[in-house]
Amino acid sequence: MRANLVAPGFAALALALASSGASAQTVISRSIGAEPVETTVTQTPTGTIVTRRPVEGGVVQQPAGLPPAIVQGAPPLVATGPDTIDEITTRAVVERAEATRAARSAPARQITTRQVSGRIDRADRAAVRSVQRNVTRQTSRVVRTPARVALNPRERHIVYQTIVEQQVVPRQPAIVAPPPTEPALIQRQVALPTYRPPIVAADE
Amino acid sequence: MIVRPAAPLYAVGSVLPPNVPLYALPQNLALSVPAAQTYSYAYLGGRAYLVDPASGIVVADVTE
Repeated sequence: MRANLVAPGFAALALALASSGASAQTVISRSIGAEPVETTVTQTPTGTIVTRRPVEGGVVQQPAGLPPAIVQGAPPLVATGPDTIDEITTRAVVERAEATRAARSAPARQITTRQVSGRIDRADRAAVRSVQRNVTRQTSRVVRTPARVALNPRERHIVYQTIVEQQVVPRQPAIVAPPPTEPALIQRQVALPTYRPPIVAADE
Repeated sequence: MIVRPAAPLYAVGSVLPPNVPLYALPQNLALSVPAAQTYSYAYLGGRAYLVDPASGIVVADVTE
């Protein structure tokens, strides 16, 4: 009975010594919960990093009363069961990392150049038109506007008459009546009176 | 032959075509109507227009 009581005491002492001696080592606390946990395994040149985080949020609290796990030396991979959630998640993450690595190392995709037609669709034309309508041209044009000449009726009459007289086309030729034709000279033979010498009586 | 004035072809302020002949006003008219001495005139379709010779703009329609 005493031996039974001493053995756990030694075990506790050994555990305490081991924990004090391992304080210089890397201490990884283990938490066991029912929630699904995503485990990310990252392989770096210096070693392997295992990161776990709960899938549906929340922080996995370490149950009270459990002693901290002591892992000495590398690799710090957490041992899990063959078909536990941790194992399945770890495998999925590893496969995904491998797939990503393979995709990165794969040759670059072939670049295909496609020639786009220069035609403009109706919608694009409408857009261009609307843009063109919205453009406002600001041009300054200097136009010398002659003042309107204000003439009184008298001046207007003078100007008009002068212009008309100057522009008037040759006046209408005056119609001159033809000279009256002289009647034909009619020569009449007028019988001259015959001269009769007076009869003078000789013997008076 | 006097041409009877027709309906106005050009309103005041409009520009005459360059092929419309312009004439200088007589000197005696410049004396009697000083306001018109700087303008020329055009006689189109029986209508008399005072025109700015530099721009061809009709400044007055003096047709009676």
